[in-house]
Amino acid sequence: MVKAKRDSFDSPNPSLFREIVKSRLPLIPAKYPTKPTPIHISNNFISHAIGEGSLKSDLKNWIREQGALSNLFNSTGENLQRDSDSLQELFRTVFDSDGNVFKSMASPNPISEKVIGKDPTDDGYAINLWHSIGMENRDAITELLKDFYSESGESSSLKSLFDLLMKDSKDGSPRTDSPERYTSVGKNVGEIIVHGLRKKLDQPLHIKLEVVRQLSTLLGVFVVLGMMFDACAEERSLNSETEPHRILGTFVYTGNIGGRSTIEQKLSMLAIMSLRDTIERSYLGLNEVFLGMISDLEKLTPSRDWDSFAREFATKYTSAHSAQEFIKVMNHFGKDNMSELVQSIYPMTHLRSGIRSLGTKTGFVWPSRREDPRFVLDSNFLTALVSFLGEEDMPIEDFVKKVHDKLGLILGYSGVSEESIGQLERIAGRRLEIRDLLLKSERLLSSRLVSAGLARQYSDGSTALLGGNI
Amino acid sequence: MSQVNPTAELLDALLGNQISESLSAEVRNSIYQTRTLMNSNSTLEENLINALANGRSMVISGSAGGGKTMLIEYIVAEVKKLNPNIDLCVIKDLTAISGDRAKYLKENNIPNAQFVIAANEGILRSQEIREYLPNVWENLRSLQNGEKVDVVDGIVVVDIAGFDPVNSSLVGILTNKEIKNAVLLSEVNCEHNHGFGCPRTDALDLLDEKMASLIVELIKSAFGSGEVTYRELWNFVIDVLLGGTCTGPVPSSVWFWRVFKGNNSISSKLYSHHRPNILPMPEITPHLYRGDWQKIISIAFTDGYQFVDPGATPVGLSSPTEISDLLLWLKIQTAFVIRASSGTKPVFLGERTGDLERQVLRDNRLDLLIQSMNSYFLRESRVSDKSSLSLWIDFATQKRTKRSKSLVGLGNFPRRDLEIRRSFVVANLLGGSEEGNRAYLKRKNSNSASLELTTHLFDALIQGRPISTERRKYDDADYALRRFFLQVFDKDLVEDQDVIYLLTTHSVDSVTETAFRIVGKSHLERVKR
Repeated sequence: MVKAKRDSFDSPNPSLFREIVKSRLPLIPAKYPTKPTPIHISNNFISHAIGEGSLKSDLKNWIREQGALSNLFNSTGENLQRDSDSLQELFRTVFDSDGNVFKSMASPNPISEKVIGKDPTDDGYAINLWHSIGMENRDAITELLKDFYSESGESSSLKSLFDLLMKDSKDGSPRTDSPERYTSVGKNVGEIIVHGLRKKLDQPLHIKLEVVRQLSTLLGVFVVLGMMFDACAEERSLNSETEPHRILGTFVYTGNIGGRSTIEQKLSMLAIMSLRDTIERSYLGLNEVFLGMISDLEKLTPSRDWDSFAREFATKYTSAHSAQEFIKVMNHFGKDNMSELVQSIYPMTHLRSGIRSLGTKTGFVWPSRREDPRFVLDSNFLTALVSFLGEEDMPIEDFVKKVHDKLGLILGYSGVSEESIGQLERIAGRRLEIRDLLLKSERLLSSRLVSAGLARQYSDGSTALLGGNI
Repeated sequence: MSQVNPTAELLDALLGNQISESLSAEVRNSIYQTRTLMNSNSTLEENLINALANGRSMVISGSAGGGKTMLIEYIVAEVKKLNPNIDLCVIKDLTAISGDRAKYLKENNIPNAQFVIAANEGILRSQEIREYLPNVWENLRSLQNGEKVDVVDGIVVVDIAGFDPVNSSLVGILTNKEIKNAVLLSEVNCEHNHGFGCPRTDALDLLDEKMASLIVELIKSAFGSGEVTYRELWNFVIDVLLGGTCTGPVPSSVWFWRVFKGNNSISSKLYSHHRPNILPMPEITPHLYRGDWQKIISIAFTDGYQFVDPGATPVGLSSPTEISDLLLWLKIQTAFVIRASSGTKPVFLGERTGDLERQVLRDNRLDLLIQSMNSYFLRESRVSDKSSLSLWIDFATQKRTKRSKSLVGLGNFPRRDLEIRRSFVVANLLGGSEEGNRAYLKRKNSNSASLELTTHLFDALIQGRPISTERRKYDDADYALRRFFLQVFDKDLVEDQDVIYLLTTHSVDSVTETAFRIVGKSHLERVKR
C-alpha cells in the first residue's frame, strides 16, 4: 500500500506540474499531449476572442443526429432518408473535416462565428496562448475577428447554404477577458496574427475558409513553439524582449521529401540535430524555471521547515486538491531532490511527445513516429506562414529573415545572425558546412514556393512572393 | 598585316568555350543571326533595331549567360549600319559597372539621353536604379507574369530570359555552316580519316535540320518549362560537336552519343530523363549486336542518312562495359535516323512522361489541361469533363496519414472563361505580343487568378491525387491547384451557381459525386447527376 502510494508520487503528473509553472511556462503540454489538434486550439482561441456561437449545440445535432437535416428538404419517404444522409455527409465535410464534433464536445471548423465553442480537449493551450499574447494584441484580435466574420457581399452556393442554416442564430457569448501580460513568444505571435488578419478582411466566404484553415494551422504551430520558447529563454537567462532567434535559432528542413539527395540528407540531419538540441535546452530551461521558483520563495522565507515551505509553495501557485497533491510530492522527494522531482513528474519524453504530436498535425514536425523528428514546412504550414507573414513582391531573402526575426526559425541564409550560425556549427560539429547548407536550404525553399503557387522565380534567379488575399 | 581565318578563329573560340567573349563581332553576329533560321517566326531583333533607329530607349534584362551581350551587340551593329551618326549610350552590362551605378547613369544623362542598357534583373530592382529607369522593373515583372504591357513612348523592356533559346536557336546553331566548317577543321588531322573514316565528321553529315529539331524535342520534353540559358546551350553545342574522342571501339566524339553522354548539364539531364539505355528496339537490336550493318542499313537508313561505322561490333568485343556502350551507341544512332526519317518509333522513355505538358503547351490544349485537372481530383484517367473546370475545396486542417475522404465543390468554371497565357518578352513595343517560355492558366482577360504551368504541376496531374499524405512529393502542386480554384471562383461565371457539390472517395478508383440545389433560400433538393 505504501509502495503504491510512493510510486504515484514518482510517476508523471504533467498537468500538476504545468499548473505550478503556468505563469512562467503556460504552453508546455499537460496530461494528454497527443489529443489536442489545431482545430481544438483555434475553436477555443476564437471563442476566447469573440465569444461562443449561438448555434454550437445545433451543429452537434446536424452532424451527429440521424435525420436532423430532413426538415431542410421538401421531399418525403425513402428518398428523404437518403438525401438527408448525403446532406449530413456534406455537413461533416464542411464543418467537421477533422472529425472533432461529438455529442458531448465539439470543435467544428471555425468557419462561422456562430458554430464555434469551447472544448476542453485542447488541454488548455488556447486559453494560455490567448493570455500570453498581451492585452493590446487581444483587443486587436477581437476587433479583427469580428470584422473578419461579418457579412461580405459576394455570394456562392456555399454562402447560400450557410445563410439557410444560420437564419435563426443569435448573438454569441462575450469574449474571455484577461488581465495577464504577454510572454516572449506570445507578443510575436500576437503581432503576426494581427498583421495577417488585417490583410484578410472583407473577403467572400470561400476565401475565409482558407484563411481560417491557415489561422488554425498557425495557432497550432505557435503552441508548439510556445512549448519551447519560454523555457529556452530561461535556459539562456534571456528576457521576453530578447530577439526570438537568440532564444530558439532552430533550423527547419525546407524540402518536401527527406533523404532523396545528398544535400537533402544533410539538411534533414541538420534539422534533426537542431530540434533535438532545442528540446534539450527547453527541458533544461523548464528545470531551471521550477528550481528558480523554489529558490525565490526560499530567499523570502529562509528558516522555515520543508513541510511548511512545501505548503506555502504549493498554495502560492495552485489551490485545493492540486495543492494538496503537490505538497505530498514535494515532501516525498525532499528539499535536496527537486531536480529528480521534475524528471519524475514531468519527464523530457512528455515534452517531446507534445511537440511531436501537435507538430505533426500542423505540418510543422515530421515524421510522427519511428525516426527522429525535425521541423519541416509541410504545404499546409508553408502556405499559412507565407499568407500571414509574407507581403506581395517580398523577396524570398526578406521572408526568410522575417521568419528568423519573428519566430526564431532558420529557413535559409538570409538575415541569419552569426550567433545562430555558431549555434548550428556547435550542434553539427565539423560534419557539415553550415553556411553552404543554409544557402541550399533557401534555394530548396524557393523552388517549393514556386511549386505551391506562392512565389515567382524571375530571370535572374531571384524569387519573390506573389501576395494576394490567401 | 596577317589575314584572319574566320573558321580557325571560330574553332579557337569554340574550343576555348569563349563563344561570346573572344570572337570578332562579325563572326558573333553571323552566329547570332542563326537564331532566326529555323523554328522561329520572331521578328524581335528587327523590331528592336527599328525602335532604336526611331529614337526609342531600351533595357535588355536577363540572367547571366542568357544572351544579353550577343543581342545588344547585334542590334547596335545593325542600327549603326542604318544610322552611322546615331548618338546612343550603350551599356553592355550595367551589372559589371563598379562603384555607384546610379551616379554612372546620371553622368550619362539617363533617362533623358537615348540609351540601350543590358543588366541582370537583380540590379534593376534596386531603388536607386529604378529612379533612373522608371517602370522598367515593374514592366519586367508584368511581362513574366503574363501581363501585356504597351505604353507608347515608354522605355522598351526586353526580358531575354523569357525567350526559349532551345526553340529559337538550337536548330540554327547546330546546322550553322560556319560552325560545321570549324568542326571539320578540328578533324583535319584525325587518323581515322585514313582508315574507316572519322566518326565525328561522318556523324556530322547526319546532323541536318530534322535531326536538330529532334534534339530540340528531346530537350523540351526533358526540361519542360524550365529555363535553359544561352550559356548552357553553348556549352551543350560545343561539347556535342567537339567533345570526346574518335579512338577506341566506342567513339565518344559523335554528336548522337554526346547528346546523352556528353560532359555538360543538358546531356546529363537528357540521359537521366530519357534513359536511352532502355530504348525499346526489339527487331533491330540483335542485328546491331552482331554487326550486321547491311541488314541495319536496309531497315533503317536511307540515301539521306549514311550509317556511321564505329569500326567495331559488339559481338567482337570482350569487355561487358564496351559491349554495352557500343550497343547503346548503335541504338541511339539508329533511333535518331528512324525518327528523323518520319518514323514515330522508337520513343525515348522521357518523351512519354512529358506528353501531357507538350500537348497542352505546344498545341495550346486548354481542354486537355482542364480534363487532367478534373481527373486529378476524381482519381480517374483522362476521361473527365473538358468543358468546365470543377472547383474543389479540401476543408481538412489537420495533417493526417490519409487525405480528406470528401471534397466540397464550389461549382464548374466554364472553359470559355479560361485561357492558357504565355509570358511576354517585350514591353512597350508593337503591342508587346512577343511570347515567352512561361505559361499560366488564367481567367480570360483578367490577372485575378493565375496558375503557373510547370513541369512539376504536370507531373502531379499525371500521378493523380494520392490518398496517402505520406506521398508528399506533389503536395505543393496540390495546394497550388486548390489556391487557384479559390482565386478564380466567380459567382457570376460558374455554371449552376445555386448548386453545391460533394465528392466522396471510397477507394483509390471509386468516387461518388452528389449535388444539392438551394431552392428559394428556404430548402434544399438533391440534383440528379
